[in-house]
Amino acid sequence: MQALAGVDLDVRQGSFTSLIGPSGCGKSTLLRAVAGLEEPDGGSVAVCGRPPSAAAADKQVGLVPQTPALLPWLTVRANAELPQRVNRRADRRRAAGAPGPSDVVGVLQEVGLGAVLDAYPHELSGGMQQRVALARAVAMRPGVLLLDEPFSAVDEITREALRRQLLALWEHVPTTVLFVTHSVREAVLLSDVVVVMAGPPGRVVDVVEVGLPRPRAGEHLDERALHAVEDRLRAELSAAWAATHADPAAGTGRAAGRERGA
Amino acid sequence: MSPHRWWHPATWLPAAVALALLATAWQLLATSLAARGETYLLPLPADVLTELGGSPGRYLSDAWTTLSTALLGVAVGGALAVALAVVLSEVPLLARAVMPLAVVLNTTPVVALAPALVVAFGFGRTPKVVVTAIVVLFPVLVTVMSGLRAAPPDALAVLRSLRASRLEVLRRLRLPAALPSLFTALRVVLPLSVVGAVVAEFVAAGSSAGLGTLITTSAANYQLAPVYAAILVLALMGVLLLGAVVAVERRVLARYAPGRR
Repeated sequence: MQALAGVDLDVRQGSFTSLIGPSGCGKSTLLRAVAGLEEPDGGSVAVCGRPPSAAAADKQVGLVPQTPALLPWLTVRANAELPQRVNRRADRRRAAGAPGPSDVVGVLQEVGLGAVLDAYPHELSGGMQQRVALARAVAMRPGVLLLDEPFSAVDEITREALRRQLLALWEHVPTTVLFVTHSVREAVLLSDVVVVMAGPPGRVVDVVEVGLPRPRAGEHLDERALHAVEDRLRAELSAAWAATHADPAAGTGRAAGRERGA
Repeated sequence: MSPHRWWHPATWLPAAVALALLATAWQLLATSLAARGETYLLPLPADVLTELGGSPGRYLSDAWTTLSTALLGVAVGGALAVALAVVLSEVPLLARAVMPLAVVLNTTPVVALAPALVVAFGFGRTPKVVVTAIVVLFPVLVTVMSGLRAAPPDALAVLRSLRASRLEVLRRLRLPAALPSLFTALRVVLPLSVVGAVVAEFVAAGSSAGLGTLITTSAANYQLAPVYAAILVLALMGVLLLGAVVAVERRVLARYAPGRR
């Protein structure tokens, strides 16, 4: 089955970009292609100017999947250190002077897990487990950080805390973020750029610059401007949804994914 | 799930009552048969216990012979099966070639193979260990293979996005994730290994020890009490083996798969 058709997208280095769209529109497939987990049939994907497989081989790809995907037999600290324990060749290849992986314990402390370093995943709440997954990906200082609906399984209050921590981490460990979400509000709150997708087969409908000043919380938040962007995104999503479901032939064509994290 | 503790009457009483009923039925049937002079159908429970108590050393030594054969078979067959499972799960083409053969081997009655193994390996312990290992191989292979394949896909994606080598994925994720399957297999296979060892002893005539040998020689001499005494010991052995696996399984899975049960 064709999951993506005609995706032509440039992602600015160091930016926070969200992918938003209905289920089955190929958001996750696009993310997997950037992670080098899936090969496009046609077209090309480039991460930091190189093929995803080369970027992954240098441990430049930080992946936070939908589930925390922690190994139950490892402690919190050992789970977060996992990226540094596998594929050691990448660490030796890292150019001298280039920033090495961050101090894992420091990152864990930053996301509030300093007290549970030696705990096992089953002793943690879902939100805490997801923070470990976040720390695991960020501590290796990846060139791109890919998040596939990472907060979809936690409650709204936890979700808000996780968003704040993600932004704080992004500030300290600057990287290009690609964030898949179902939530329009979440996309606007977090992103510099929101990519609206539709499908299947997946295609990019629009690329929207959010343009709201940061931080976007508390009294700093301009709710009216936020709603304006949200409304625009919602309108585009529903228009795209209507177009996809009215004309089943819409959007067919050769698979051509082009993605660049410049 | 309520925590069933073994010391609660609710746990052991039903089984104890069933056992007592069975013993009573056995006693009644055996006495009525003996009253009619039919002593070759069923021995009295008392006779079986007397036989067992009369020469406990003999039963213990025969039990150890059979048990060590069974355990050796589990070790050899199990290790072979795990190694094969790892190789086959990494090389799907090989799996497609080997699995049909394994299925054929599994559906072949091993009893039919045993005399040929005796010819090949002699009357010593080797053919008995080989028979047991063959009995053990297939269930462990199939279960562990499915366990290796069942590694959580998201964790697999994370390791792949790091370009972890296949060996690293195997060591860090697939093997530990397959441990619950290994124990499931062991629970099936350990009692089965005793069956394999006994059957091998049946077939490998000329061997002088083991509960299987004791059963065949006693039966040939119309001595029913030793036959049933040996069966009782075998049953006990199976229960103890199962208990031992479950105990080890609890400890290991508490670490490797917490919250599973």
